[in-house]
Amino acid sequence: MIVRRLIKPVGVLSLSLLFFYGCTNTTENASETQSEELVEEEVMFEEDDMDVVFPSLLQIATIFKRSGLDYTEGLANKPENVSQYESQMSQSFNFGVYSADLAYCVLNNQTQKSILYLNNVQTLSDKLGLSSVFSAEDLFASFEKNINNQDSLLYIISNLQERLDEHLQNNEMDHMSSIYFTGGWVEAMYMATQSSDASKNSGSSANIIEQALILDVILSALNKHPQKDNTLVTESINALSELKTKVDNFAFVKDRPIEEIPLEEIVVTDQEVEVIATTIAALRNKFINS
Amino acid sequence: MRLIKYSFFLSFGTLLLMMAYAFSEKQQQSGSVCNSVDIRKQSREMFKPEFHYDASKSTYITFMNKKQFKELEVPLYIGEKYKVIFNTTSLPQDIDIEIYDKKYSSKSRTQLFNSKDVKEVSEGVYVFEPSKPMRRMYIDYSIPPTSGEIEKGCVIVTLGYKIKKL
Repeated sequence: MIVRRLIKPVGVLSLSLLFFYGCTNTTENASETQSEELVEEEVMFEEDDMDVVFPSLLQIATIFKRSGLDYTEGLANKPENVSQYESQMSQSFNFGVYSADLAYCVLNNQTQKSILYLNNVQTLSDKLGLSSVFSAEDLFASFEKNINNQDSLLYIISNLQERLDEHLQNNEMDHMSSIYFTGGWVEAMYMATQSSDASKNSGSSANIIEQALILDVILSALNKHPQKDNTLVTESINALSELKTKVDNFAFVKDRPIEEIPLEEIVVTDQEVEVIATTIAALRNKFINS
Repeated sequence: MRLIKYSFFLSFGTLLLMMAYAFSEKQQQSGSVCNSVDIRKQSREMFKPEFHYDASKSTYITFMNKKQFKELEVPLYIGEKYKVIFNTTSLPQDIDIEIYDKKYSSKSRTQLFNSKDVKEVSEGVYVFEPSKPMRRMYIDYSIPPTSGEIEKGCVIVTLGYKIKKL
C-alpha cells in the first residue's frame, strides 16, 4: 500500500527534474542560434570595456636592477609576516608584494631568501585558490636544483607568471590580476625609492618616474574591480590617485600626454622622487600591516 | 520506512546525475572554445632564446549578428624590446587585429600593425615587433558579424621582452 502511494510522487519528482533539465538545456541550445539578419552598423565602444595587459613584476624588477639599484638588506617584506594576512584582499595584495620580493631576491642572488619568498608566494596562492599554478610540477625541487643558476630561476619565475595569467583568465578571475599587480608594483616602487641609490642615481630616478607613468592604467583597473568598495582597494585608489595628481604636476610632465615624453627628457629633482617615496611607503605599510 | 529512504535516494541520485552531466558538458564546451595551454606553449617556444614571457591576455569571443569591437591597453617601457604574438587558431572565423599608438577615442592615432597586411608566421599566428620605443600600445580586435549558429572562440595575445644582460 505504502509502495503504491510512494511510487507516484517519486516518479513524478524524477520526471519533473528530468523535464526541468531538458527544458533548461533546450533553452540554452535555442539561444545558440540567431537571426539570419546581419547588422552592419558600427558598434560604439565604451572605454570602460577596455582591458589592461599588465607587465610582469619580474620585468619591472629587472628594469630597476639594470638601472643600478642594488640589494638593500631589510627592505623586502618580512617573510614571517605571511601568517598575519587573513582576509582575502590582504592575502591578494601581499601575494603581489611577496612576488615582487621574490623577483628582487633572485635578481640579487639572495638564494636562501628567494626560497623563503617562493614559499610565501605558494602559501598565499593556496589560500587564494591558485594552488594549480604551483602544482603542475615540483616547483620547489626545480627551484632548489637551479638555485645557483640565475637564468634558470628567472625562467622558472616567468613560467610561474604565465601559469598564473592562464589560471586567472581561464577561471573568470582576471579581475584579481589588478590587485596582485598593484601589490607587487607598490613593493617594487618601495624598494626602488627607499634604496640609498634612488636620489643619487639618475638612471634609477628616471625609471621610478617611468613606472609612475602607468598610474592611470593601474587606477583604471582598480576602479573597475568588483570589490572596489573593499577598504584596502579604496585606500589604494585614493593613495594612487593622489600620487597621480602630484606626478601630473611635475615640471617635465605638465601639459604633455605621457606617451609623448621621451625617457631622456625625464628630469626629476630629489624632492619629486621623495614625493613618490612618501606616498608609496605609506600605501605599502597599509598592505603589509593589513 | 525503507521505501521512503529508497525514494529519497532515487530522487537525489537523479538530481546529482543531471548536475554532473551539466557540469561535464560545460567543461567540455569551455575547453573546446580555447586551447590556451597549447597556444601558450607554442608562444613560449617562439620567444626562445631571446625573449622572456611578460604578459598575455585571452579574449573570449562570441560571434553575433552585429559587428563587435574590443580594445586592449598595453603599458610598455621605453628602452625595452618587445615581441607580440597573436594566436587566432581557436577562432572559428577570422577577425581583424590592429595595433595603434593611441586609444580608440584619439583623433590622431597611428596604425602600427594590421593583420590583413602581414603574413602569418604559421596558420593563424601573427607576430609584431615594435620598431620604435613606445609607452603604450592599443590592440584592437574588430569582430565581423555572422549569421546562423552562434560560434565562440578565443584569441590570445602574448608579450615577451628581450632579455638583456643585468
